[in-house]
Amino acid sequence: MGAEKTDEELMLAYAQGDARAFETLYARQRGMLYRYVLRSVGDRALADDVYQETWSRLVVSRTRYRAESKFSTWLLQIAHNLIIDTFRRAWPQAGAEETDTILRELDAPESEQPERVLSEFEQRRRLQMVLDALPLEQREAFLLRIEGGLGLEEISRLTGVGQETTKSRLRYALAKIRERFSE
Amino acid sequence: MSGNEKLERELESFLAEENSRIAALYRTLPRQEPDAALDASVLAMARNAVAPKRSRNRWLPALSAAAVVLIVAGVAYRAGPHVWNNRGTQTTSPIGNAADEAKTTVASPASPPVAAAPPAQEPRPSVTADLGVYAAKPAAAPAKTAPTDTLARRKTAEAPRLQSSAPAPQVFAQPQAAPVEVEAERADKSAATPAPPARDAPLQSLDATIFPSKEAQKTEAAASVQDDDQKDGSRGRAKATSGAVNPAQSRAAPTAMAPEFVPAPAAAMTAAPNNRLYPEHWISNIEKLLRENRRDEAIRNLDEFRKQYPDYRLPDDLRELK
Repeated sequence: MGAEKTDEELMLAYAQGDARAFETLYARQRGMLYRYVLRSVGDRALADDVYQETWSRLVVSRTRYRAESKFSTWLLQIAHNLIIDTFRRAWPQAGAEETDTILRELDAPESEQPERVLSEFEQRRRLQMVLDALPLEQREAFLLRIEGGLGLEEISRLTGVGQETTKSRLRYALAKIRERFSE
Repeated sequence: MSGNEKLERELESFLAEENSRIAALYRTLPRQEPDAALDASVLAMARNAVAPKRSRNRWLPALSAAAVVLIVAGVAYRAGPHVWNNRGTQTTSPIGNAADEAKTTVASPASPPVAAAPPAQEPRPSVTADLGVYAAKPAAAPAKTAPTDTLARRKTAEAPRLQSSAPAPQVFAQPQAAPVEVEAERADKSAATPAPPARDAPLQSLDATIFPSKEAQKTEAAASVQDDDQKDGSRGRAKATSGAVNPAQSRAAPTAMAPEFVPAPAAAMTAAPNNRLYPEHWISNIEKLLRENRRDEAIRNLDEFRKQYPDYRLPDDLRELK
């Protein structure tokens, strides 16, 4: 049965011409990939384009897939590359100093109201806002962990940086979120 | 606990997904998914990428074959009648050809009505061979039919080609007499003024004249038997012959033979054809007549030759011949 197969087996079956295997695989991964892309780019139309292009590239390079890596890592790697390309075309990459400045500016107002109790709706709205405001590399590290379920090592390999850098990016992202919701 | 320590614990729990408040809060966010159109687009793309392409290749050979068949059929249809007529003319008997030609003639509105289908006349190859020097003008008679329909015109144009195998039917009122008169007039003219040799005559006719077949020789011999009372020249004989043509027969056989097939009088057959030859060939024929003990005929030919080529240096054996 196709449903009992792992993602990697399904991908290999699709590479051999089994279209049903792809349908199963797609059903499993579509939500995760779409949310990762959408929350990374922050725009629905752009997210649709990146999402479709991600699958298109997967289809084209299906015969090059090797089961040594997790399928989700390979899929997210394709999406990550497209997102990076999209952002590079849209605007220049922000430097680390600029990122710290933005974080400080975002931290200030909320830190002044620690006792504020937020409604659940307000909490979701703020989380969405703070995720959108995060620098791309921090937001991606956060999303790859929480949406893709990747560990530090996988995130580091996928983004092409060291584990300490990944850890630092995640730390910055969590600090911003925590401070926006002040305990 | 300092802020840094709290952050480190939060990071640890976030990475371990244990009691992470931020992770729990993230799970409360709406879980967006691609819309159905996007799903359908991706799935269609994935299916097309691995779909077999046999269906596209299946109809291509069939279409190519159909196109070839259509082209061949079109070419055969356009070239067919012409090719088929040629083939039929070459392979069918003269009777069949005559009937076919008669039908064509009747179908032509410009042609006079034909009283009855003419009996097919047998071709006379020996006479034709003897008179082959006239084959250069075979199209004159068929051209008079002036056919109006395409098929009749095509048949008329083919008549010169077909005359050697079968007699071309004519629709003239007096088809047999006219060619004889023409021939006699030619003989007359040639006697009065030396005509240049017919250099444009077809080679095959020339060969047939120089090297007549056995049938031609027989015909010549038969003509020489009647030779005695033909000393008046070819004209009188031609007139007499043309007068002797049965008018009833002429009417009954309106599809007379072309001039090449009309039996000429013996005198015309002996001298008139030769005077169309090159002098050397004519001399050869005269010598041949002598060898065949047809002395009178040879002398008559020699006289004609001397009239036509007075300055020609004759061979010694012929110079003495009187």
